Amino acid sequence: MIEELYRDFKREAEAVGSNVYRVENADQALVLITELLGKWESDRKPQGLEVAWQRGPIMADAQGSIAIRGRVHEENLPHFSKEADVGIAEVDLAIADTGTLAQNATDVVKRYVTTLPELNILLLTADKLVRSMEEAFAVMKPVETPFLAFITGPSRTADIERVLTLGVHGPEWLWIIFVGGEGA
Amino acid sequence: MAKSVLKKDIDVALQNENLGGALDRFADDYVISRAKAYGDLDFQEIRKDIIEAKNYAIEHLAELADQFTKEAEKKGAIVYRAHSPQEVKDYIAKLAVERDVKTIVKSKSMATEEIHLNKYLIEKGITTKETDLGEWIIQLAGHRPSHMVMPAIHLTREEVADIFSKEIDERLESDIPRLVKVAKKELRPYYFAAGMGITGANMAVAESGTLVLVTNEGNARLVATMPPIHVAVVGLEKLVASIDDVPKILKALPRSATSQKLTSYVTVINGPVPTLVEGQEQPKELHIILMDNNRSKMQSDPLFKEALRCIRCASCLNVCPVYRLVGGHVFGHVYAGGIGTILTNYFNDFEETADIQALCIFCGRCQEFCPADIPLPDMILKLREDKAEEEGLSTIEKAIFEGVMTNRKRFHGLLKVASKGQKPFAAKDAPYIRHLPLFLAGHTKDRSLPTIADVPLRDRLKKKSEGGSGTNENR
Repeated sequence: MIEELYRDFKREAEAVGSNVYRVENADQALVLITELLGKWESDRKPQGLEVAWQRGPIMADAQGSIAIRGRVHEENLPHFSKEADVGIAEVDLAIADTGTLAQNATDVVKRYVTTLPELNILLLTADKLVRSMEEAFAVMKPVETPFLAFITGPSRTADIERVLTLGVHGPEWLWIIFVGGEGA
Repeated sequence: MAKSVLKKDIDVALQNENLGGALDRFADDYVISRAKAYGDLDFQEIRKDIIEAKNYAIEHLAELADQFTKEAEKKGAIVYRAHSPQEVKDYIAKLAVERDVKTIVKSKSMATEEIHLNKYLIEKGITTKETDLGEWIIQLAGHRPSHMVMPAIHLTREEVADIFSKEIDERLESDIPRLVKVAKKELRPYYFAAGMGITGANMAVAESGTLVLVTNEGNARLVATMPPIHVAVVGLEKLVASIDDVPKILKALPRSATSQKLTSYVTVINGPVPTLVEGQEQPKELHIILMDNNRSKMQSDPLFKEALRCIRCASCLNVCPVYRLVGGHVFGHVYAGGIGTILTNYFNDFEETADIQALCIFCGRCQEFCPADIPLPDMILKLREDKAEEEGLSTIEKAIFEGVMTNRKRFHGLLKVASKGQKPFAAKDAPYIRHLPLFLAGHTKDRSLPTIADVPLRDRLKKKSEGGSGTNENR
């Protein structure tokens, strides 16, 4: 069941410009992030990266930090999010039908970390996959959650000559990492 | 608008090759990409759900508005019920003055376009920044939106580069990703500087006082997050009874609007959310303005109330052969196209409605593609009958068809698109055949249209209508 949902999620998310990865545990996630950021920064940010990382329950057990050139901030995130190249946070649910992530983003810090940097890395556990928006609505308490965010791919526009361009006011890159779950 | 002005607008639009090119490409691509976005989903089933949800809301409009007010206030929002555009503008301006707000950031909202909010706030000395890329472009250019979803579709990248170059006082190349980055960089500081953020809403859920925002650029998330005050301007027609109605509308809105299975962001807001003021966390002030502006009047009309089902996807523009030719500045007012004709008549009540409705050729495509199955052709016909009693018809029809018919390629293009309507002209229950040929035939008698004599118009139309009964290659 999870395998099928994961397969569909990955297809739909990648179709709208997200990158989707899957690892077994938090330590592996850390290794993956370090490796991916190393590649990403080498052509873009020769001066090194500024990373705003809101470590949540998924990554709480991971040992150490992200080994990259630059600085990884885990404190004073609203301040650092404004200048950060990368924002890392955790989300609550994934919707297979549309490649969508759902996040209770009532915490204002979470919103700063996920809306401001140009690269967004969002983590969740693989057991949090559902099929449809209807299912997500049943789980995510949409009438009680003050700020509930659904995220499907990077920020985009087609406002100039209808040419699709990623990264307008929100992130230009969205990487999604599933942690754990059977078969990972 | 005087008719001579509209005629001039039509001439300008028809001669604007950029506009023609952009709209032509779009109209062709749209039908294909939309079909792809719907995939295996049953459009008629989705439609049924939307019609049911929206019809319920229309029948219970006053009740749902009361319920929404009560529920949103329970959650800590301040709800203001505005009847007129002026009440909305006064409320926001007064709030801004009371809270000493000098700068406002806005995300895209047709409701605020409808009432010309920006102009009013700027006149009051408040810096008001549109942050949606298309809206910012037209704000800088001093234009009004020519499309509900892509407000700046009438401008080329070169024109946008010129507009931005002036704004930031630096010569920019017409490279689209570069231009997008310029907008991002220029606008980013304003989210933090602004004392107030204004958004619209795509849905307002009565049972829970919930707002739903459907966006792509990410600016609405910033507008709703950073400033300490959030004002949402919501037309009454955005009300739905239940939270379960939201996924139903979300199935159609992105697919029909932008051929996406879902937009990049869907934001669900319940009451004031935490914000940061000088680094300190505090609850936001959330004001929700429920705006009537003749929506209740519309609701009391047995035919036009159906237009309140509109979810603002703009598919009726995208498939309209006349819109394709002349764009939204001619075919529409703030709201463009077929739906724009109807909404303008109620929301703005300008003399223009008479002129705008005259452009429709009754091909029926708008209704075929409408996720809410709004009978736009019937409505426009009704407007035409009403207006004809008042002032006669011929001048404007002439203006567009003079322009179109003297350009054969465009004229044939128009007929071709019109003939793609899923209701063939010859269908028994479709009233359109009667109107299209008679309407065009009127012009063959007009000596100011000399090219007509050379075009076998009646034959051409006859052929089209025969083809439409089953052998149309486009079906």
